[in-house]
Amino acid sequence: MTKTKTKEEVIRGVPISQGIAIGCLAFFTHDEEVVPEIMVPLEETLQEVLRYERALTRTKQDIKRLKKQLEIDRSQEAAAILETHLQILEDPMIKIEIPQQITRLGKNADFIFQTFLKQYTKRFNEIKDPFFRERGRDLLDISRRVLGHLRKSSRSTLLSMPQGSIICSFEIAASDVAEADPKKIGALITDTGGATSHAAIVAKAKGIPYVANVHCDLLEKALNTTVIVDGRSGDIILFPTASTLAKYKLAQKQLEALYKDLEMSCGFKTETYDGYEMKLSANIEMVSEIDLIHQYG
Amino acid sequence: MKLIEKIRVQNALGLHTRPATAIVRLLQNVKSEVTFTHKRETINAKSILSILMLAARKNAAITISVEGEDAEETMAKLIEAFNAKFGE
Repeated sequence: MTKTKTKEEVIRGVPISQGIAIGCLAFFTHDEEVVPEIMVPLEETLQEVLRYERALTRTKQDIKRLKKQLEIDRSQEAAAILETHLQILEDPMIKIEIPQQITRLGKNADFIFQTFLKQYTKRFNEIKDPFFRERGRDLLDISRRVLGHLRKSSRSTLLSMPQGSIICSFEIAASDVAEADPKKIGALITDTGGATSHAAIVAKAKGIPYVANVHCDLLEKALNTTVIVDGRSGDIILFPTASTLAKYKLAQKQLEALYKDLEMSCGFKTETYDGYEMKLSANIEMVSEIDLIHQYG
Repeated sequence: MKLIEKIRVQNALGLHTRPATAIVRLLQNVKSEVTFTHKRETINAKSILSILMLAARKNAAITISVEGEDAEETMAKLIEAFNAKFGE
């Protein structure tokens, strides 16, 4: 029986986070459950509200844990995104109005919460400005966690993906990327998302190569095969030839060596070869980034 | 006491997640009712989701209304925070 040789194919997306990854292609999706509407007798609504509040508390604990890890890794901008998630959980609509609706309507927390989510996701999607429209993803991100705790269902996470996976997904949430172990996840590829998305910010902070604006359908044929993701150009190479693989493995080693050299030179004086000392400035957005400036010289 | 003041958003990216987070944190222990009005839409300024849905860009005119026992102090803090671009 002859083996059909598949031709090398290059798909170009939008480069979001630099780096090169070579790994096995896997697909990641969130299981969107249909939440049933259940009537809750008046005498049980208090218990239902308490159940909802426990789900909120557990979600906050998840986010705080992820935020702390990002702070330890000195990813301040990524940590700030999770701080916003914590504030969303304190929003009066989530903290006060939903419990009031559970009591008033006598329905299960999951259904009330999902109804709220659909309503507000629709409102965000109606915002004409794409930058602000994108902020609705933070609500979706947190909501999956809250519903996961309410439903006690096992939430799909990047933690369950095999080591060295190149992950392809229609979209990816910031907290999913925050949870990802860069040693396990080689790279991210998504249909949606851009450089200003919170997932992009977290991916860059964690050094995970990321390419967006790629129809994941086009990659289905390469499932469980080796692919190359070049976060510098946005190229995704399916069925790479031996020479392409060798070329990218070399490029990977060169990039790693370059980053190591740059890290080592952090503490050096900023001076030219002939000893002329220069002043090096950094452009920062937040006061908290001062630590990073000192860390990287 | 009720205080009303108009201010413009100075942040390059408008009232996005970082300034919105700063606003709700500033108003966390405030007793007064605080609203923002932008393009005829009035929202509860203690709700981060509502602030984000305002989609207020740079130079957007926001009418701040503060009503309650700590209105003066709250308004002063808000104006200062807006003028300081929320630390950006």
